[in-house]
Amino acid sequence: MVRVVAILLAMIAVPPWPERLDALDPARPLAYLEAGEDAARDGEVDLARQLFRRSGALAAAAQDPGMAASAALGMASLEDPSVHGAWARWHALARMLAPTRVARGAWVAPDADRLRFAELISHYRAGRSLQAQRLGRDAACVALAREWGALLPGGGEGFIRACTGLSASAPPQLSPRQADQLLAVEAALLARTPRALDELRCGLASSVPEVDARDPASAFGIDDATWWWRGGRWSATK
Amino acid sequence: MPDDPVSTQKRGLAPSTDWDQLAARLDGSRLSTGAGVDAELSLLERIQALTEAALLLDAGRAADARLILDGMPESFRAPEPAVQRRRSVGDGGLAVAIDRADGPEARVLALNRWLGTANEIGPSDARTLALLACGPEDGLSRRARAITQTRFPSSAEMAMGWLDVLAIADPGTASTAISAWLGRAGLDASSTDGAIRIRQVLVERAIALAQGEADSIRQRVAACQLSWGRIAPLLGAVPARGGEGDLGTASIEAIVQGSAGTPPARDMAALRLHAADGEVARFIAWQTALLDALALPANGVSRGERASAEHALEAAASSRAEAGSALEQAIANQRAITRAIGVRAGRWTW
Repeated sequence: MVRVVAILLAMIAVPPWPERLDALDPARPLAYLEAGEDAARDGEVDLARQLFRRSGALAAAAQDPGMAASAALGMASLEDPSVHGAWARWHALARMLAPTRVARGAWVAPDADRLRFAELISHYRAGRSLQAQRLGRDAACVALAREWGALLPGGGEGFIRACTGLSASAPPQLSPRQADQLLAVEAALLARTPRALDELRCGLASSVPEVDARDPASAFGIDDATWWWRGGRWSATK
Repeated sequence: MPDDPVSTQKRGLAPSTDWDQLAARLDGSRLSTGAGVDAELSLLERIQALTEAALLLDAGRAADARLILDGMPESFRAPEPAVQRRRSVGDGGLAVAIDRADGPEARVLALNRWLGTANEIGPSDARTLALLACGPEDGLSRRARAITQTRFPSSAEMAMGWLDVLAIADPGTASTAISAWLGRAGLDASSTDGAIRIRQVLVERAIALAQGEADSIRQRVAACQLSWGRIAPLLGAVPARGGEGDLGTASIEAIVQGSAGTPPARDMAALRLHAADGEVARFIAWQTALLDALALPANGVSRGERASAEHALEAAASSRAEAGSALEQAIANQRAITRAIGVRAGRWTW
């Protein structure tokens, strides 16, 4: 009950957007970051971008790489991870700014889950439709398919669709290239991490995000010092 | 007066020196279209060889450089596509033959008859044979195990057959049969850890057998590794061996961690390495750091040369940003690295 009241009070205490934006002060980049997160939550994507950019630029200028990295991750959260480009670039920037504070994909699925996913690949390859359909609906297998989607033929979602839609009368007809690709996925999966050879064999064509190491903060793109929100627009004067 | 590769080309003259020859090949190299990863790796491998030649020339070892240049084909061609794996005709016959046989002896007979007609094994037959070999201890499973070892010891399909059967077979009998086929004792699929290990061995064996000697990707990656291993000492760095599948990043790391480059270049190298989240990305980051170090050495660079170098670095960064694949980025970097070596040797200009 006390918690509900506290939440309600907090909601009432948050001022409306115009007031909140007017109150932003470049000496406090955290306020831009928090406002950006709230804007993103409210679906105000453009406003969230503007706030994250300013937060990142201000934090970098204030020698606070951790907060700048948070702003970069905020920017990444507004992008579609399945579309290579902006999402990967913002994540690379975050890793560049604060490598110890940004997860680097260190999480590894438990052995039992990875084994189940490897078995799913086997069932799919062998055309065992019932087993493939069952494991294709297994939450851990679905998560792993998404994680390894870049290496799977047809992508993670496509592979799960192929497994759950596998028919006993129509086993998959894999080309040598697709068969090799599945083997490469298994090799990488069992070894816990893809190696260069696995990535190359799968024809992983994505380019590596290019971030300017001379001036990483320039990626936030605020070069006109428009830190203040005045009269419904960003301004360089207080 | 440094030789100018561009003016040599403009004059339309045949290359007159090793440096001219090297420049002509570097400028003439291009990405072949349509052959994918193979072609890109092939080009990377060749440009790395040019880098090696440039370093040898820089060190005054013209004869060694000439060996590389003379041994290189005139044009950078895409390699032939990898040989398609042969598929056996009539795959699936073993399961039918065993199904039709009535009784244990008839099934062994059917297996022997099928064997008489099978020169190679297809994926379906391989799964059936593996399943028979993992069956209860009887004449049929013993015969099946013997066949896998004597007739199909080097079959990628057999390795994949074992992999696929492992998901449904009894772990104990499967471990025995697979260990015998692999010639590796002590594999045990009865625990999760053991099952992962046995799968790992099978996958590696399947990949090695499927790709064989014709695996141009494996060969080209190995060639790139070897190339970095040779380049490292020429750059004054200790060559370091990487793990399997490593593109030679350990050698590049040794170079970057060496004394080359200015403190800002080393700081940028650290930032780039932080940003990289995979082996291929680390390779690109290390190359880029090496390029920075070569292009902007700590001493002996005039203001004009520094400006030209920075302009060249920006051009390389643009190429990387516009590249469609990581390998294209690696090639853009390698091309710039080779040129940087030529510039530092006083033979070329940016």
